[in-house]
Amino acid sequence: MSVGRPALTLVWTAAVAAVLVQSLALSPTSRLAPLWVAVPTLGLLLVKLVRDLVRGPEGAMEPPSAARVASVPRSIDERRARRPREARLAAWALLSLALVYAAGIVVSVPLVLAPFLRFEGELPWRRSLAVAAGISLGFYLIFVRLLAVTLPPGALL
Amino acid sequence: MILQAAWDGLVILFTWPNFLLPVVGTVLAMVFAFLPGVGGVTLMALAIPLTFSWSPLATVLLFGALVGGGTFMGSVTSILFNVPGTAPNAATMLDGYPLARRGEANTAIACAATASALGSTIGILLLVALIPVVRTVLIAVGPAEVVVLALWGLATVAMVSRGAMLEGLIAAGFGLLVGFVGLDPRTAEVRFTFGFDYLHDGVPMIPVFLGLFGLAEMMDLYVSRRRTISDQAGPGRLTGSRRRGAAAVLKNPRLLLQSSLLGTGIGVIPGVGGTVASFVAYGQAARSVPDGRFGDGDIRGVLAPEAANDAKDGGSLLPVLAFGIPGSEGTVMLLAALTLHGVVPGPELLRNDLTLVFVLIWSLIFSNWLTSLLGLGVAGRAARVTRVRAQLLVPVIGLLVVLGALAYRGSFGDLVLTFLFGAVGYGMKVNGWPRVSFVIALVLASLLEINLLLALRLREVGRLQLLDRPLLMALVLLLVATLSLPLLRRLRPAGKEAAPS
Repeated sequence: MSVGRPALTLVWTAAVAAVLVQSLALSPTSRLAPLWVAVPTLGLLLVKLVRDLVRGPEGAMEPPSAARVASVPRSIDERRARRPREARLAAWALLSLALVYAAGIVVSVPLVLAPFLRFEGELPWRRSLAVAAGISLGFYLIFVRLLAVTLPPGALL
Repeated sequence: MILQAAWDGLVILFTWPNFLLPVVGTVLAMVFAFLPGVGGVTLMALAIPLTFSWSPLATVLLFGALVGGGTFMGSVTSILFNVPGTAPNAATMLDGYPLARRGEANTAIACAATASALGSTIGILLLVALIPVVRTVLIAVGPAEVVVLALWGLATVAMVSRGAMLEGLIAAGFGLLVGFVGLDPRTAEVRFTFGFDYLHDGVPMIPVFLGLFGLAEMMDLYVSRRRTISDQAGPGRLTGSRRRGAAAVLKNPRLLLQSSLLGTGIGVIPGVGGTVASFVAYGQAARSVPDGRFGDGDIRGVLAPEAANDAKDGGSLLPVLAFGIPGSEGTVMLLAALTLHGVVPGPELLRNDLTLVFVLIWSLIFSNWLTSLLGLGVAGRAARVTRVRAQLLVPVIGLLVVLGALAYRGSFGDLVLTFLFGAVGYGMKVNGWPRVSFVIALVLASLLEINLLLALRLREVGRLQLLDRPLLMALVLLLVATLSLPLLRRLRPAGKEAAPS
């Protein structure tokens, strides 16, 4: 997630390079447009990579645009401070994915919400369970019953 | 014919129960736009899969309201908390917040509401006036023109990513490459699936939108440790005069018209969007008003950006409806919704289904006015919403995103893709990469490739002579100029650089 500028650029560079290599195995018609895009994109990525490496981790920050005023971490300390939360977020995301896959979304909602509200929202257990139950019930009544949204079942349930 | 279509569209809008959809859409857009960092785009991304089984008419009624319904409400948090509800509302903060601190919050909000409603109406009227002109021009638009126009749209989007131009261009390139995944439209060759059957039909857009915008915003809210959306205490009772605020707009008709024209004109340009429109209008207002105290609570500093921001909706619909080229995140969602429901923008739509176009336009006007009227009434009470704890908002919006991803095609793969692009979107956001470049490129990839191959084929058989196509030459010059301007600016001697205000 917030892995810093050169690392993110490297990931993108690797992805575009992989596309470029795969393009060469395609027929001339199929690879025309991808090559026209991949080659200059790769060039720009290499320019950015060099720029990020030269500037270093603290680097010169571009003037923030109005569209991203608050979210861009201003210093390497701020980036480091975000990493534990990002790791926790990744854990919650993986747990949610696993539960939805195994049990379906209807069962997963209260199973994820209650501990999230308890451990992240710092609510007492009773209130966490009550709020989770309320939201789960509301979700079920509105989307599953009223709007009849079709949702896939879990693999195990 | 245009007048008849406009009348038919108006009748359809106000026919029961059609009327309910724009009302519901407006209220939802108001709620979402009011929450800084969440925004109307997240709502639209959520709405697309949930309205999959709806008719094209119902979709147009809802999405017209979603496009128009959020623009004013974001200004309320700008005025009350100095936190823009959406990026285009940032310019409103400059004078709106000082006004609120002086006890004139109601005055500022009323001015913003009135300017929004009138600005959007002017923008829409200009759009309607341009439709007959565009229908004539469309005859001259062939595959080569579409390619250059799409490239110009992408270049403009990337170029206006202030301070992140390189990242904007790279994101656009990456978006195009993601759009090429799947079956080649001409040869049916499988491309860039890396062995995953799931990607055979290409990368589905809905999970990408949900992840890139909805999930990424919630991830950022969680990680940034804000206790509430606005991170501030509530405003208490609002003071000031609504009548004075509304009257300020009517007392400055020239400024209103100037800002609306600027907003509409900027809205037509793909990729430029509300943020640029509102700031350009603000800057022009500051320059054109000699006795202004802009930045210190001048009511005209609220009028100008709000009028421009709403007028741009009318302008931005023109490239979407005429060419299928979106210019902002909102129009990307609109285009995706229309296409998924079998409404294909372009000459056919403007020729054969003008009534549906006018239903969209009327829904947009209606929602703008309803937002202003309702927002004026509930602004003070609604401000309390921003004190909802982030830890409650994050799982609820996250749940809606998961629901949207699963409801789309009932595929767990879509959910995984949503989370993946959530991570990508979060990474882009915290590292200052513009996501709008990526999504516009993704949406344009197929259009670009098909027309590029067609144009090259026409050239091969001698049916495309560049010098015989003045529109194409003009578009090529425009593209070259757009790409060269930043370079020329850097080469200019330092002393001649105008300092931005």
